[in-house]
Amino acid sequence: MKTIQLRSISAIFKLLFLTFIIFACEKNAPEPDDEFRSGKGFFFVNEGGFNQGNGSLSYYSYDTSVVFNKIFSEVNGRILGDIPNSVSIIGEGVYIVVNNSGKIEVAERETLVTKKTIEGLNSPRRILKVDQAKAYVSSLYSDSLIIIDIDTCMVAGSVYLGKSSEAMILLDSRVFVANWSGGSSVSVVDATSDTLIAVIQLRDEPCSMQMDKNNNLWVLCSGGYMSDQYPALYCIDPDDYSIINELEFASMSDYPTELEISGSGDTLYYLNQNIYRVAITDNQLPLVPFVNSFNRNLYKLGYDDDNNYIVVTDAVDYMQRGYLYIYTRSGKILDMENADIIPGSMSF
Amino acid sequence: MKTGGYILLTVLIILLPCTTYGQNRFRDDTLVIDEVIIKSAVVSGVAGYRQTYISSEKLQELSSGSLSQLLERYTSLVIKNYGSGGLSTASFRGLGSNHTSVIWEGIKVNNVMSGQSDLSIIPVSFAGKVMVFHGAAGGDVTEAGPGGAILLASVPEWKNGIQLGLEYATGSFGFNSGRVNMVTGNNRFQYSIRAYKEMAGNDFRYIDKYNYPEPVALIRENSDYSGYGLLQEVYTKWGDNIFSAKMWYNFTERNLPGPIVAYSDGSENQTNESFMTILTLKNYTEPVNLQFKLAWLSDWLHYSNGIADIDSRNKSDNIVLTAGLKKQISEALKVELTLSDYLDNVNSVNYSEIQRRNRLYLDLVISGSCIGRVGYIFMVRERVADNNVFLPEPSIGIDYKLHETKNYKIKGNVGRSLHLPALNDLYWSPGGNDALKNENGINGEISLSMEELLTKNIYLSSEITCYYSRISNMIKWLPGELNYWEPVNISDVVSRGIETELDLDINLINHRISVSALYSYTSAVNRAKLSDNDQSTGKQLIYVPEHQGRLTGIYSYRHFVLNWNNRLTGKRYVTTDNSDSLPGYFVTDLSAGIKLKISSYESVLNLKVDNIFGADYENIAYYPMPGRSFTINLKLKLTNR
Repeated sequence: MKTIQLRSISAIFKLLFLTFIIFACEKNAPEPDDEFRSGKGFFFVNEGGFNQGNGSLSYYSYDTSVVFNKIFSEVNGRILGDIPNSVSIIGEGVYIVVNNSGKIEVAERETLVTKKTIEGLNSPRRILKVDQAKAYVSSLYSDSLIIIDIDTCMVAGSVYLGKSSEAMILLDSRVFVANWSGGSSVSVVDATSDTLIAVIQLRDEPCSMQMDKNNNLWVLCSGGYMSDQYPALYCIDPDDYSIINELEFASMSDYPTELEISGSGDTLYYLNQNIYRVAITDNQLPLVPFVNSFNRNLYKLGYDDDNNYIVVTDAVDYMQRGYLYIYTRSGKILDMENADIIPGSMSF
Repeated sequence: MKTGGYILLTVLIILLPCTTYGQNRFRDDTLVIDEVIIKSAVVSGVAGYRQTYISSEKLQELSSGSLSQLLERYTSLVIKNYGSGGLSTASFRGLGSNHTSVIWEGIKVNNVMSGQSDLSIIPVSFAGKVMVFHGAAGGDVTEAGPGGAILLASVPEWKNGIQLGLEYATGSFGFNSGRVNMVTGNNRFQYSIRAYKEMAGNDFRYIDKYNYPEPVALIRENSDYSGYGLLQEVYTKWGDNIFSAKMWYNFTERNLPGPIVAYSDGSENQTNESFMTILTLKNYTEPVNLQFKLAWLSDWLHYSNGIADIDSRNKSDNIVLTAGLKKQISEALKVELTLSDYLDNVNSVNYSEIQRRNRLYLDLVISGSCIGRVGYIFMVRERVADNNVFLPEPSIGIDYKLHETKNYKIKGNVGRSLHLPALNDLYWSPGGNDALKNENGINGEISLSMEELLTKNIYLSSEITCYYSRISNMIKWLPGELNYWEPVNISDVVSRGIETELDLDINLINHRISVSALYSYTSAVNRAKLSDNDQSTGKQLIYVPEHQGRLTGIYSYRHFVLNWNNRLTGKRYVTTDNSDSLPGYFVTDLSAGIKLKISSYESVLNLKVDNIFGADYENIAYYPMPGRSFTINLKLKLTNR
């Protein structure tokens, strides 16, 4: 009887050790995407979760209607970083602004091989080329724009704004900067002298801007993250900074973001749960969505001028792979593809 | 609060030892016996429920560690740990860390703002006894669950004389720790004081596999911490009454290093200060026993982040009053009735105003044993929060002894539980949602256990438990209509699994071998669907490993002890659609100690090697854990009682 009991005990231990060995040897098997191909298409970032390091870069190919995910890490053998906020094409370089990693990855346009990493930046958000030699980088937490020397990919200075900065638009030699987080204005910077020359006072939290075919500046103010004010869409004369038109949203619970404009410069698009469309000549905002979200969590919006496609992302619950949707200018869906975690800003 | 607390502590520190020295004349009457080691991990307790004691020798082995380290080594709880000294929480059976109650002397001490408890700042040396209660219940285990409860308690030994203890530990990465404790008293009065101070630079080497094409060895920065604390306990008894006063003060300061993929300027840090005091009066007069408790729990948390310009100051206070009566009518019937009132008060820069909440609990527990083989417990809880009366929460547990003489048992329980939203869920600004409903839980488990003396030298105990729990209306923070996240009652989680435990003890004259093995399988899946695109439905919850295992071997020969601990944690998903995961890891710790005892003096020298094989692993993604580390620990004990 005792022999049987001891044999049973021995069997139990063997089983336990076997279980330990099996699970100790288990690896997280990678699921590599297909090779990145640089045909016709566009880059977009996937922000990933805050502090979760799972941000990535994707490429949507019009040729194959395929999204190539995690292409930066596949090419460079390392992760992109925490919260890539935007991607821009400047010359032959792809500039990926990685917000919570405080850096900008500069990679070759065709191969995505890293050329340079600009590090030590305070919460960078977007990059804008302002002349042949330099670019400005906006910042969530800093009160200044960062100046980057394009040739050396080094920090070359800063432009004091006294406020946070987000979207930027270049018109002639002036840069219009939306003072988004906690702000209520648009700063105007002389890109020649790198100095602040004007501040246009608007409503809380101007988040995005566009320039229309008449060279008027459109600014979308969300009304503040606490919804302290009614959101509004402004049309501003960039020469004298006067307000040409002010379209107020119907409810303080509206939270419009992501102002985009058609390639012809006559139609604006934005997100407010759904996708809305408004002509630059309209004097009131639409009540009926252009594209209904149907319970999707629409997160970022883009407009491909070359193809006249509207691109929108669905972040689902912000903790799983999201989706990329492509619509025609008339609102007809063309494609829907799986992206990575929190698909975000695009660069066409 | 602070000034009053310090004065009270100071007075007690100065006066109480003096008083007790006067009682030393009784010490000659005291019979000194060796330390009694509680060995069995599987114990009988509340009928039908699984409970696990951490043995006193395991507490001793980790006396310079934290409760987080202790539970990670010796239980099947899932520990989420942001690194040595960083935030550490525990969760049961696939549920959230806010579903785990930490109960000190019968009072739930979870932070009322977050609903969680940071186990990294609870020193093992302050815990006289540690018990883990799996599953939801009321009664003796106040507001356990719905996941379960970690119970900390101490019971006085009514001995004459004095016992002094000193401990110093030093180790890798700038770890230094000093502890002192004293127990004195007689058969009517007991006083104990325990204090500690520790610090660690935590500048360990790790391998960065993410930020560079090839792995690079780096040193973890901005991860240092320091802390100190004091626990005082006073007991006195007269007639059929016992009165106790316990005061716990703890202070920790730590830099928060952040994940290695994020930019840090080293300005993120956190300070925690807590003061807890509990007064208890127990009356054992037959036929009805009475118990009264009055507690004040105070927490201060200051978080700052220079980059994001965050300066978050949070003060929470809890006043708790409980009154209970217990009547043993017969062996088959014992009735307990307890009324508890928790008054929460929070003053936080993250709330728009001071928030208060009053929680009232009425617990009825009926228990007993029948025909010598059946034990049962029926519990029902009525809960009122801010004048809202909720449906009663009943539960029932039953033990059945399968064999007349052998201790083979089948046991099970089923019950319903509620979980109130934490105050952060209700009032955090922005996002707090004061329209949140309670989380509803249905829980059940069935266990088979055995304890047997195989030979006169070999003792074996084992238990296998299958459980099921479903939490509906589970609170989850999601992006709201505006630009911030809001908590909503959206999740519906079903957790089920198996827990097995086996303990073997072999005693051969001067040799003793003790082996303990745990394995748990957890399937915790989300059943809610946010949208058509939501692929999380039916998937394992993030950071819940399906497989966990622990294997501990302790060998002792006379005064020499060798402790070998292995921990297996399986793969954990980090995305809700299970598209990405952290690999599992296997960590082995080894320690060896030798005890020298001369008359009433005792010294213990212990050398500990944690992560002896230098496993490169992460408990939380991008938070590297230390590799191999060494700690040497010297304890001196003078006993004259």
